[in-house]
Amino acid sequence: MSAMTDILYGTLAALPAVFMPENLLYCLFGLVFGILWGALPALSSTMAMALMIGFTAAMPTPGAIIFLLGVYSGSVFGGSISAVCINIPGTPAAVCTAIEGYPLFLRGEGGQAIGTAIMTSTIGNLFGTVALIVCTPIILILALQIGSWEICLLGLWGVLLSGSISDAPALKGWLSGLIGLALSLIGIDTVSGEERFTFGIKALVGGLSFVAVLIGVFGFAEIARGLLFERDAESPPVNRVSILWHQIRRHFKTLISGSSIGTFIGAVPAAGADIAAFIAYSFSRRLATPRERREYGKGSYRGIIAAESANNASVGGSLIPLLVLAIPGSTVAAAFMGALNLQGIAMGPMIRMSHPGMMEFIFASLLVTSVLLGVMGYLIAKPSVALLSIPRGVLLPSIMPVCVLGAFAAQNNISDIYIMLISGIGGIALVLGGFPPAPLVMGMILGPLVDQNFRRALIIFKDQSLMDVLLRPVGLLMLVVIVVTIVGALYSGRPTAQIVEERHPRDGEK
Amino acid sequence: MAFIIEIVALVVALGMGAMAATRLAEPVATSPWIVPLILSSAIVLVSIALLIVEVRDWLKRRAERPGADAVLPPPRSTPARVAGWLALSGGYGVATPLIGFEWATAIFLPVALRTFSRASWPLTIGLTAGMGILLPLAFRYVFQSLVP
Repeated sequence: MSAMTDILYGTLAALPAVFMPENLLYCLFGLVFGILWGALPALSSTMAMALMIGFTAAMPTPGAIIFLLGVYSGSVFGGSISAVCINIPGTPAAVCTAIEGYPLFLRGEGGQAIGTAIMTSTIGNLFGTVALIVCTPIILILALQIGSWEICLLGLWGVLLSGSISDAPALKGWLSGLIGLALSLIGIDTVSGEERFTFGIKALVGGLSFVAVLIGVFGFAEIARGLLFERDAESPPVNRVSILWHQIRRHFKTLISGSSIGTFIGAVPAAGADIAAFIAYSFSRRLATPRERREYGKGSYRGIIAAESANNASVGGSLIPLLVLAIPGSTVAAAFMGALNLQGIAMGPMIRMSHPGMMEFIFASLLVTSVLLGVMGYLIAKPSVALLSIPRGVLLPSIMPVCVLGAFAAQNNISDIYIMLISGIGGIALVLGGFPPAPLVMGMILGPLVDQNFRRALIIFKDQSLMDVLLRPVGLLMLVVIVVTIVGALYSGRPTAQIVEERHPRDGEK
Repeated sequence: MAFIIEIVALVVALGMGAMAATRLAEPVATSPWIVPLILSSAIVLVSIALLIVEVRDWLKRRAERPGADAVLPPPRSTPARVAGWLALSGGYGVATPLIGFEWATAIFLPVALRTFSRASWPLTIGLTAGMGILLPLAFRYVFQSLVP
């Protein structure tokens, strides 16, 4: 209880620092950039975060944190703008918003649909942040109780889950995750000092730069995919953006359940805003009255409220395992972790001791970002619709120089540009082969955690029998969860996104 | 493409496993090669499983529709565009450290914009100037960062 009070007071004490003019400016820049970026159909939240890491490398730490939180929250919401206006989700998290928002747009209620998305995204973001502040002290206490073996299993579960819930067969997701784990082993081993898989190449001694790989896979490869395999859309006119308070009041329970689901799913390692939105949307439809259910697929505000509150609530949720266990709740959170690592901030159970006040500053920043998301969303939603008419052939090649500079600026290392290029070509091959790139990134960021904790556990348990190790309560629970994840993914056989698409066809009820 | 990736993953994992096995020394618990060995075994298993699934699906498709395995050629322009983009963007990345970011961007962006979107010359010049001059200036003086 005292830890929770400490964190609460610490968060309140950090608010003045967040309200410093330069930090507020960083927050506004981040939000504007994030919303505009998210609104553009070919650009994802992860890509935004990946490219911005290079920019933040030289920023002051508080500015970098608040800027990236703005980009994160803004881009998750921004996806709903193109989802409503052109039926193309700006980010995967806005797929359900497109299902309900586009029919509303065709009825001339596009402005109202966007307004409702703005307000519910803001409330969802705030809900997730409050949950983050409340849950973190509790999980922090639990995290201090679990040992290396359990942390290793948790990291492994994160990679497996990331592969299981992607929009590809589980086996392909797992292979992608395992490749990510293998890539993380390249370079000097921090425990023994021995080089692994460097083959005498000096550029590999320090390991593959996570930022360069992230930009390659989510920048370079996404540019190629958007440019070569997707078509442009027409930008339509939108009426005045207005918030339908009566709809929000009417579906208040949906808003709360969507936010709760979003926070919970966000906190599950590797399950990001898209999964949160899918599940909340599906849940809201199941609990709807027959009359409300008939509206689904034809323009339901209830569906938008569920999906938008959930995807933004997942922002706060995804930071819970990241801050406490150094296990990101999504690929965007993984990018945020990469940015914090560049700033010299190591996540994990000891963060409050190693960086006093940092966790509270992150909480306060996210609170302020959540409130400003509503304001900025309302102000720039309509102008951002104009961006939807930018042809991909103009937009995407123009981002390429940012990829090159972003990869270089993270560590001022020329070889990172080559690593970015090679990762990008690998990313294109993965996408063409039907392999999801997200598990690869999760594997890469969780690799050192799994490797070091596994070996630490081997040393700790060297005099114990295998059964003693396997029967440790938390470890046993984690093993059961891992087995259930593997069996469940193999048994269901179909990717989550495919199941949702089958259950909720865009042309209404079957 | 999936088949190629799975074969490459299998071969690389076998090599990785062999390398880890030969370097694994006592005590195993502290050896940095224990995790690569386990990981390579997992990759081998998953790759083989995926290859079995690929072959099974291929045989099933072939049995259901004779001639279905004859893959239709992709649209004529696509392979050329893919190869062109990869060559152009790859060349840009390689050239940047050699001739500098500004010059590399000044060559890459007009070619890319004119080839992939037929953007007008004023837009092409404006964007090239923006990305080739303003972006590095912002990096140098606002973000206090180096530019290659």
